[in-house]
Amino acid sequence: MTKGKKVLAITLATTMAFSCLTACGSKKGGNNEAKPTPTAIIEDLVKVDPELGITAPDEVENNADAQKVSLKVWAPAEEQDLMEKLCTTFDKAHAEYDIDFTYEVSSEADAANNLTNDPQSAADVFMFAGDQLSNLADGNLLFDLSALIPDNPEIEEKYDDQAYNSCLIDGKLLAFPFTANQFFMYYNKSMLTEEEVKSLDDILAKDLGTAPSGEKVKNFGFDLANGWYILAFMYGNGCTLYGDGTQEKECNWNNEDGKAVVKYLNNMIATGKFFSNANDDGLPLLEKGELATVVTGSWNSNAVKAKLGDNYAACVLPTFKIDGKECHMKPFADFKMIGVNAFAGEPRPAAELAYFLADNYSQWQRLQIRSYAPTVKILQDYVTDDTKEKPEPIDPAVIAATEQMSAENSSLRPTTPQLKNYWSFGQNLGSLIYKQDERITDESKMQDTLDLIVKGITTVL
Amino acid sequence: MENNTGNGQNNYQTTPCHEVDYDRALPIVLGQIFTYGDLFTKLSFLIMGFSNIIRGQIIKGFIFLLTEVMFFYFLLMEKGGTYHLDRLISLGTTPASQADGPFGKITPNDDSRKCLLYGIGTVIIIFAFLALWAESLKSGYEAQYFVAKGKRPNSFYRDIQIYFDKKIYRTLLFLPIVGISIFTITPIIFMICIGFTNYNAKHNGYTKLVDWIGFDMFGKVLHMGKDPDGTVNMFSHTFWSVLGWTLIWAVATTFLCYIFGMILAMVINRKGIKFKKFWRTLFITSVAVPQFVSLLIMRSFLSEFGLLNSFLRNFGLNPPDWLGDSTLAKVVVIVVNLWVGIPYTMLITTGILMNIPAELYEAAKVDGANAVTTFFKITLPYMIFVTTPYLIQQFIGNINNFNVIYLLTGGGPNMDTSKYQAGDTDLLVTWLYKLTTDSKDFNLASVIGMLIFILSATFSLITYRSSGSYKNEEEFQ
Repeated sequence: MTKGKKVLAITLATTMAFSCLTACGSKKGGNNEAKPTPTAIIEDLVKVDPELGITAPDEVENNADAQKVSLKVWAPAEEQDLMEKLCTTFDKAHAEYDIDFTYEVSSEADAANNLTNDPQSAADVFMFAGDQLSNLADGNLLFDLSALIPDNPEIEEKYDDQAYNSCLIDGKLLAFPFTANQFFMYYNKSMLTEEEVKSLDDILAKDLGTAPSGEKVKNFGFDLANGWYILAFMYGNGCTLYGDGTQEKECNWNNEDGKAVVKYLNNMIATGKFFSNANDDGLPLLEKGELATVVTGSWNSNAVKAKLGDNYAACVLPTFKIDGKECHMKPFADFKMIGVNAFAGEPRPAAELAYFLADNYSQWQRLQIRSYAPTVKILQDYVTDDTKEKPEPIDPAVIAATEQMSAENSSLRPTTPQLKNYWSFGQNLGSLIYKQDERITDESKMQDTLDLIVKGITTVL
Repeated sequence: MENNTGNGQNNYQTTPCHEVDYDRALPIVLGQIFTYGDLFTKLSFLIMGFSNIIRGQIIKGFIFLLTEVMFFYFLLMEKGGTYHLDRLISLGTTPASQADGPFGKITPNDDSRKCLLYGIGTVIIIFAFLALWAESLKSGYEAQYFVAKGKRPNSFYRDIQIYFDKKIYRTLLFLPIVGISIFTITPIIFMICIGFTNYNAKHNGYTKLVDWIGFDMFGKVLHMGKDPDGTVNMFSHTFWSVLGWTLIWAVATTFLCYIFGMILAMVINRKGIKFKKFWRTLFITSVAVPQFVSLLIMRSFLSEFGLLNSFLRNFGLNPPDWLGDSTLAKVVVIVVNLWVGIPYTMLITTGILMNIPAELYEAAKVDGANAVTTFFKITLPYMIFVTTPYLIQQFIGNINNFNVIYLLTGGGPNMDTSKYQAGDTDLLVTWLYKLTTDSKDFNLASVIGMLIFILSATFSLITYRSSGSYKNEEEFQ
């Protein structure tokens, strides 16, 4: 080896090693650091309706000895703009704090994961999907917001009961619900009347003839092979998951009530009027007039509105009759929530901010700007009251979501982290019923199959 | 020995003293050094570099000594080596806890994941130190040898020079090895260790600490027989059935892609086929579209109410749910994978086919062999000989073929009531993915990862070592 070659080789090896180091270094930035341009630009916050009893907070000068606080806030990309405005409003309304906000993008679905991975560098206040609550609570990652109640006793009465209870675990208030995040039913007004959509049996009984395309019209679109949806039927007939929600070894879906639901669903498939709405397959059919109803959530309201046009309507999930008994479909009452990181450096201002972001004023803004179904009683009344004059008509989907979250029409999510086991087996059950597999249609095998599914749901690793 | 001491460098190269054989295993060498070393060399076992210092290699000796001091300082300092080793065993004792009072702050405390990581780091540092210690003993003994022979031991400058001359491989490999230790070896050890802990959804490591649980997870996965209540054991049932399907999938996709790719290449390669380049380009275009795009399009194309089925319905047919029926879905994913995989095989085989000497075929023709005979006697043996390593690599790649399964079916349909977090078309690797992202059973996932590695490594070693390309490397030259 000549000297020149050696030098070259060493240089190359060093460069390679360093480029490796730098490549790894730059990746460390993580997915939360970069803040993309907000997608929804809001000109200004919406004026408050004085008749409602909601007031905009007053702007005040900071005290001379105002506490310097820095807070990191996570919100999904489409919420950034509104979030920044609300946070600024909060800062201006509090003379005792001088707050320096940092905003980062984290979708509600990812927030819990991002927080769990590294709570110490995560946000102080963050929006997250309510299905993550039990996992976060189990890891003691949420600040107990009950600490706010002595100063703000109205909290306990302000929220819808089901919404408030969804945020309670072991008597601790671990988050504030700011909107409903659940499914209900959209339907075609020209095919079914307001009366008919109240009962699934009436919906299925009606003969809707054939669509212009020559296809037979399907009456009921529902994502059966999906644990999140199918449990609405089971809970409707009194079956529960994990007992009172904390017993990881409890599940009674293999009892007589559970079997009755399975038989009901088997009959529903047999009518031939059922449509499986997996992957939102039903939406294009709405437009073609081949499907009369579809069960999905607020996230699809714009898509459904576009497909149905003037025939667009929404309502709570229908009831169904088992052995003459009227059952309400009861999906989980699911909410989007705002929580405070238990590792927050400044828990008090963080908790107060979280409360403000889920309070009347902020929910009013979200209702007007983003059509988010409210969870505070005062706005729920406003939304569901037909007699009241409104500047703009409320989207029927918002009304349906609001009604769906009542205790009569929904059930509380189990709080045990064991719930993670359920989804795959719920999908199992739904798939077997939808495909009319003999393991679930044959009465002699049905019990064994349900026993196995229950075993899976309750098996602890 | 005596007449071989022309200059220092030569001395350095030859075995310095017939008593110590440096080619032998390290403990034996160290034992020999201890036996034949004088007092200073023996003292070097405790005080690194002592022998070098005494014999005039001051800088080198002090570097050794300084390393030793630093190492022991690292071990014994507050939150140093012994602290990390202790925490590697306990994986943390105090979880983070909240201060009293309604707005009490949380004090972060032990983090099991950091305990594990720093513990592993400490173990690696200890091993690195031991290697340096052994090196210093050799160096000390060499110094003793030089002095005994009446020579001056190497100066520090000379030692450095050697690292740019005879030992340049060490200099060149130093940074890559450090990089690999930090970015590859440590993470792998970390991941393997997780398989022996209870790190999962219920133990996040800082508010709920993690503990060692030994081989529990292996026991769960490899469990034989039924549960006490007479029903199948969910975890082992999932593992064995997913493993079974993974093997069927890997064999089917590898060999079907190979056979069809080869047939396609031979057809295009035939004499008399016009526009060869055009045909090759045509078939290769499916590679030009990113795989995940074409797979997602396939998914919606094949879905129950997708394009294909509405097309078939227009003809009054009652088409099946391609991806919704267990058996059918398995066939469909294999077929779709053919469409993705054949062009690659075609490319590779085209090159090899063009390389087969034409004289072989001419000779066969003269001997009166027909097309089938020439294929089985000339083309196929040649192909197999050249492509066995490629086939092995394809097979392993297919065992771990995440994209096709995940993007096409997501592991579904999910018709088996006794599978834990796995659908009917899930491979081990997609199951592993679900375990880490959906149910957060990191320890179980780690065990699955290890088993996949054992499976792939064993298979590749056995097949590769018994392949023609390994045994008769020269045969076709």
